[in-house]
Amino acid sequence: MRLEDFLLMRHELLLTLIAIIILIAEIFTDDFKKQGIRPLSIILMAIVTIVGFLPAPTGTLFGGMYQATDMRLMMKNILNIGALIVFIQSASWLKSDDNQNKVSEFFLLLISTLIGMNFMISSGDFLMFYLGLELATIPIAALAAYDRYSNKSSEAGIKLILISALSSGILLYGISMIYGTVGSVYFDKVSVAYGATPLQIMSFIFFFTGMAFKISIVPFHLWTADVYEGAPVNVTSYLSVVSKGAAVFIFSIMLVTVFQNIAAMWKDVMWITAAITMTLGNLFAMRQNNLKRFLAFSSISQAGFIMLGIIGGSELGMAAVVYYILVYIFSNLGAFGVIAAISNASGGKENMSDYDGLYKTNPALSLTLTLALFSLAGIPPVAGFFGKFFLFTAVAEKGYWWLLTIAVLNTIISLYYYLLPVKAMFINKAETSIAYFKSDGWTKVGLIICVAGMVIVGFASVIFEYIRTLSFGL
Amino acid sequence: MKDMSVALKFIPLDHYVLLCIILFSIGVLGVLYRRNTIIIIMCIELMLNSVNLLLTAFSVYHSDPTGQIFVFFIMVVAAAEVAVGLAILVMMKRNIDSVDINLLSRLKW
Amino acid sequence: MDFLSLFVIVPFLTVVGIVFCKDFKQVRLTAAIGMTIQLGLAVALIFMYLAERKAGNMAEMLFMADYVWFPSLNIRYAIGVDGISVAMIGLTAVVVITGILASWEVQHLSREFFISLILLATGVFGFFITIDLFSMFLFYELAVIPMYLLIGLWGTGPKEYSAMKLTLMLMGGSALLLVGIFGLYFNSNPDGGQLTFHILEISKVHIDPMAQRFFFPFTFVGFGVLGAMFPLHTWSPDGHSSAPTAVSMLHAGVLMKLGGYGCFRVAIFLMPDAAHELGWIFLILTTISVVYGAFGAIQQKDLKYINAYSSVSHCGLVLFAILMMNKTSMNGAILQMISHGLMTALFFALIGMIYGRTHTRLINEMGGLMKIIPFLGVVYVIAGLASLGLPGLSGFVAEMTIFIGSFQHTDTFHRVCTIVATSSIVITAVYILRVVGILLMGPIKNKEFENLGDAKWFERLSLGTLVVVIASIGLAPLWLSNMINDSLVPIIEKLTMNL
Repeated sequence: MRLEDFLLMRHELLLTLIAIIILIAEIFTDDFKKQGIRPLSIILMAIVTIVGFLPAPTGTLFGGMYQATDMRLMMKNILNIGALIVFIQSASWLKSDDNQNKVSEFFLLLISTLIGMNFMISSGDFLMFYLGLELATIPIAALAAYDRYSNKSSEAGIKLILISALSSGILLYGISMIYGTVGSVYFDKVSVAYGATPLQIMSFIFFFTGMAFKISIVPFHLWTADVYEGAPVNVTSYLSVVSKGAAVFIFSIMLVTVFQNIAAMWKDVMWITAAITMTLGNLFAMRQNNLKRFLAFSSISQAGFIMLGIIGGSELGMAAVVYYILVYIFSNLGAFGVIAAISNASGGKENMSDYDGLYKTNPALSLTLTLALFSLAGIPPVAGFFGKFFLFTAVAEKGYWWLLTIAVLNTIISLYYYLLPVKAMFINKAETSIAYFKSDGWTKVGLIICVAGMVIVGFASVIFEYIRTLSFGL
Repeated sequence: MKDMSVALKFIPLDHYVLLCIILFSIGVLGVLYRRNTIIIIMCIELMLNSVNLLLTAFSVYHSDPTGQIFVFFIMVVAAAEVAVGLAILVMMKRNIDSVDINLLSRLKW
Repeated sequence: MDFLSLFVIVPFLTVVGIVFCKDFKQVRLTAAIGMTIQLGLAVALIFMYLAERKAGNMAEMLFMADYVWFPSLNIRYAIGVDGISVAMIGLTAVVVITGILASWEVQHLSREFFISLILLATGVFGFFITIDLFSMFLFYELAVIPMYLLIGLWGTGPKEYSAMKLTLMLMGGSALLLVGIFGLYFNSNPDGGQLTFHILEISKVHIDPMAQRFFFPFTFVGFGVLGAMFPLHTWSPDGHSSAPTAVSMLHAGVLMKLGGYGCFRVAIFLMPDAAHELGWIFLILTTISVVYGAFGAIQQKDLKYINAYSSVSHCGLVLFAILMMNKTSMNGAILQMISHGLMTALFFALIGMIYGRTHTRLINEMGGLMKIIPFLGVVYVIAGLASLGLPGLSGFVAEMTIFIGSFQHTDTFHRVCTIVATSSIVITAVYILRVVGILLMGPIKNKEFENLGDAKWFERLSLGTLVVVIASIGLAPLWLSNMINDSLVPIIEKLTMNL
């Protein structure tokens, strides 16, 4: 292994480096100076994000266990952007009295999950994939239980850890059967030897189920809403965007490479699950009052939409999936950012009815939330419209007209509930709406990045075209 | 070592597979039916161990060491998982004074 | 920079300008200035278009420009106009400026009001200039979504319900439309070359009839929802009656025309085989809309509901004429769109002004208004006469052309439909005259009304503009119908090519 080879792993190595720097900083700062770690981590993360975009060689390492292609690097960059925004948005929350003596833990755990996700995305065999996946999930459970004295938070933590352990058990069972039938865990060998013998189909079902838990596809979605509601807002936003994005990325990579021989089969499975996921996610989201739960169910239905691109399976479909995740990061983090800001300023108000008349008191936040919700619903001129359009193009390309019809009708249902908070903020009248407050600099920066992302990513076609050139497909 | 793997192959692979299926199913059922969180964690361990056994068996029959290496990693990760799980469990015990997951219904649709 | 893009840029700059305004007087002034420039541009466009045609430029679309947007999918921002779009742009410009004048005194959140209103207008203008299905769809959605806030925030009555119903139904229409657009896109090049969203390029391709049969209903219903086609018209009465004045004007006057224009430009023009084959189903539905809308208007007591139902009837007539698929009737359809757009804008403006004075819209509670507010009363009569098709006003030209065109079909089915639809003229006369009688004539029912003031300057300006345009189209319709006729030639050719 030559020294240049380390350049291939620069995302992971840099993240490890900043994790170590934060650890050292934690040791050498006094208890009352811990606040300095917040800007330090954010700046380091920003540097890593920027460095990630610099051109660098591609190739494989460790005999094919680690693969760095342009597309995978792009995916890592997208996740870095998401993590950076989450860092910025959580800065003001970490300043509160409860959290100020555990600041570095938050950043450390987030960075270690990010390292796990990066390894997972770059994995070239099931072992690396499994290790990355676990590294990406276990710290999140600790994060979900971050609020030490809140019953809800610990409940979210235990639910998340149990569900993720269960799903990795199922996943591993699938992997072991794949290993048993093929005799190798390397993706390229498996993809060649994989057939449709009963045991292999069985193994695929286990594998699919395990991944479905991670992406929260119906019927394996029940944990999502509870965990999202219980965990602190910033952790929820990370969980719903970055964590889910990473799982979608690797899942789509594996489906079109490892399982390409049984594409016809998994497409049928995905067809049905995607349709059910979209519909059920939407129907449950309609009756939510807590905004975190609301976004949890909306993220379930978004997962259904994202699956459309995977079902398309073509180059276009994969590009649409990656692009949509990018759009989704900006939109969902925009929505969560506003919710977090309001929840911090108002002492934990997270219900839709608390938002009545918000536009009168906090117009900028209301407009940001409106824009973010429109983007999630797929309404122009924000990027969500373009993202959804490309996903739909991907399914239409392969002639799944009925699935497309179900999907477009689902966008209408989703529009209904995305308009509900908008209605609360603009139209509903309230005697005591949340008072005006000034958000601090970090929150503003975080939200401005989201809004800029939502507007620019859509209209600037270069971004989509660039992703398209990297894309791969069946 | 060579004799060992020959000896192991006297038992047909089917037996291992069946045993693993039984162990795995017991694990899954335990997760679904038990209410005590610690027992649920134990059942998850049981599932993981059935996977370990399966991987080892396949590894022997393929005469390929990858499966056995995989097993080590699974064990390590499982230990980490349990560590975090138990830590959260302790927290939960402190907060609600119980480890029964039926009490975890504060978050419900 | 090309000329047509100005129609999107000017409203956009106006919006930006409004954001920086300080108080509501500056806001409304900025909005009025911006939209006056827009009107000027529209008039200039009409003259430039006519001059170009006179000079012998017989291209299908004029002032075309084409920018590649997403090269890998061949999505382009392609613009161009023919006589029909020019006429629609002119209509939009007139209605928007009069709408701004009619809402001169909106003080509650005026900045947000004018921004949403102009965003809506941006969407509509964009829709009419573009000839690429993707950008067309984008502008369509852009035009619909501000509606939610406009009705929900500034509306009256059950506004939240109406706003939600309207938005969801129209967006539902656009969702179906999206399926149709994808159908066109993926069949736009049967030889396996570059696919395209460009309308003119698709029109040169003969799309597989099987695909046409599948996608035509999606497209037609998608646009038909916006054109208030029975049974998907229910958003229209609720939405119009709850909306504030300017929004009702724009919505009934312009936005509903998007439906007719789209049915015509996308559904029928690009999928003629299916239109011939399946047209009869929609013809029945639109005939029902025409008659049902007219009867519905008789039933109502609320002025806005009356007008909303009459809009259903008149817009049904537009779709009806388009489905007749011959040159005369299609010409009539376009004329009807313009005439109805102006007329209904006039009606809604008047209703808004009357409501602003009497604070009721129920006709039973009013009476003898002619004596108190003569200007508004006279204009109301003019609008009513235009609506029932009095010669000399625009409504007559349009309806006459439609029915002449429809009678050119000699088979029984079309005859019956035409006769049924024609009967709506009589019903229209009934409800218009009934309202005029109760509302304007007779004794003054409510003593408090005796002190009402007549129209103010901006109201007079707004109404006057509309009346002048209606009368001038009624008196000199030929230039307009010639302009439309020229542009219909390639479309009719395409329609009859595969028969």
